[in-house]
Amino acid sequence: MLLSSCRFSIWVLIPWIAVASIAGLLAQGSEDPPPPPFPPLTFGYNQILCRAGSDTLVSPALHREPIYRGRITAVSELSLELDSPPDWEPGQLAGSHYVLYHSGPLTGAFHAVDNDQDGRIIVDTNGEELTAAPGDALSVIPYWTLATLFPEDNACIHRSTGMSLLQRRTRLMLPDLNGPGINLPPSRIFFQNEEGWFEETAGNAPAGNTPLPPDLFLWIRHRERDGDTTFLISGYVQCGPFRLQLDAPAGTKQDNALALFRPVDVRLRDLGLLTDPSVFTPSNGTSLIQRRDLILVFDNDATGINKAPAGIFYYDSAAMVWRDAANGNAEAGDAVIPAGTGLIIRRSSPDGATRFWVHPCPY
Amino acid sequence: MTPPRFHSACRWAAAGVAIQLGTASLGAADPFQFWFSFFLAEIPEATPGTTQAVLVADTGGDGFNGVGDLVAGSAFFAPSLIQGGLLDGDNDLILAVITAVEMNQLQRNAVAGAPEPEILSAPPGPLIGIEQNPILFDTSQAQWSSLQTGQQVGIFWFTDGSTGPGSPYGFYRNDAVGGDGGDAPFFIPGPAAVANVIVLSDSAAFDDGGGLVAGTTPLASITANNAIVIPEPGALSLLLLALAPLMHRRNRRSR
Repeated sequence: MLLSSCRFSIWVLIPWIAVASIAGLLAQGSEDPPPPPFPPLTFGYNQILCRAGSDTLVSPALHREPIYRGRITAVSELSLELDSPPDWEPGQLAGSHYVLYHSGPLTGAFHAVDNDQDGRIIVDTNGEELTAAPGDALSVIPYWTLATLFPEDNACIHRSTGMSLLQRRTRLMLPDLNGPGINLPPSRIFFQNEEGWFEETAGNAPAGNTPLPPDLFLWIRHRERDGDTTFLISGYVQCGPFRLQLDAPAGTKQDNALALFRPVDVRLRDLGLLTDPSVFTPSNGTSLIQRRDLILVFDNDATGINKAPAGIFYYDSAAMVWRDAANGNAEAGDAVIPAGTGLIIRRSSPDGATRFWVHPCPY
Repeated sequence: MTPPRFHSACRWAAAGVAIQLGTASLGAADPFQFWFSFFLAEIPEATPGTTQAVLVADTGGDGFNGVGDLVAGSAFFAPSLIQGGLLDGDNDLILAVITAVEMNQLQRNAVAGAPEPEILSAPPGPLIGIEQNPILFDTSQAQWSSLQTGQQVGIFWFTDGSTGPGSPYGFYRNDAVGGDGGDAPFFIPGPAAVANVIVLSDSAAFDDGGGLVAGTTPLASITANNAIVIPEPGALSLLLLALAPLMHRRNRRSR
């Protein structure tokens, strides 16, 4: 069983959900049209202990305040026309915001904003057909960035004292979302000093505006000598399903680094991964040769860097139970993905098609 | 300067790596990727912008090109240093080519090895070293396909930037993680790893934000091979002739 060092103020949600429910009941009794199917805009926080001399996996499990909540009035190719949009400057949202759908066929999905002009938003669907329809509800939300998630006065990152490797203290690493194969190293490495965030590339390019999508996790690496800190995030809870993209080239295994966008622990049995076997292929038994798709989970309570997964989970369809290959194939349906962390789904696909996993709202 | 027992050390190291490779190769058939960054200071007698260093991996498990190999006449340095090329025409793979720079963030520690650094008021010149930001290595690429987890990594530097005969050079590696903020020893790391090798001599110190921190690596170990000169071909032949009786005697004894 993985231990979690996360604490989430779930109690913060309770009054908001109660108010939203009462408001909904009152609305049903009146003659006014029902309100848009927006989830309640509830606020919470999550914190994770980041140990010295260790890699800690965290994710932006709460989102920033939306700058727009409304409905789609028209859809054309990759363009969304919105109902009563604010007077945005052309291009203001490009690369810095995303749309999160609350209803319709894309419920729980998000798309990056590629451009915006005259109340229309052009989204980047990453090759997916845009199936949103007029009347669907959505929010436009600014990405967390390195500079907004870890501002100058944050208490999580040990700031480097200069640009040199020797002076670097905490390093922040992003997983590889595009590389083929398994056991992928981080794709980008960053550090923060008094002047801001920089990427560890030739020339150390400024990186404070690097966007952090909601399905992304990060590794925080503290040096041994720098001591423990706490990663604290406060923001708005995704009170609805959340859709994640799973890739796998035909005939090969592919690691998909994902974050659940949930500030609560989620049990394996509550992941909703088994509703479609084309999304997550169950194993026919406990033997290695029978294993199919896997969930890899890391233990933030364990110290060390370049950690191996602490849990390697698969679904044994013969016994109809989740099992942990890293723990003697013990039953593991109650094992959890700790709040505000992430996971890797290692999957193979006979046809190479991208699949989408919709995680149902756990609260 | 008397070189350390580099030849015999290389033999033992090669034997150790051969064992490691034998073990690692059982499960290391799949390509993998890793990050590697590197920092070394100081390099005595180095010139910023001139001194060249190469980070190399012993992909053959037979030790590094060095004094011993040169004496035996079995190795030579490549005339040019190219990332992804071979250092000695054999199997020491060049992971990175790095030019020495002044390290303005470092200060001179007057009392090497003392727990608290004592900074010289009149330092005798800047500290010179090399620094390489992280590089991503992918063994599915042809140039890195010979890399395997557990192979030894070492650093050569050529003080005057030349790899030709008569040029001075130095070498350093260590099986242990340095105590100066690095998190990896001189080995090819495992899949998906982010390895940061740092070597800081105990004659240097830097401000860590909470005060001065001194390096922990004895300067003598960094300088051990420094200024060893790549033999001229003629000198090499004479040396071999001179060593021939000794080698013959040794062979007879071993029988």
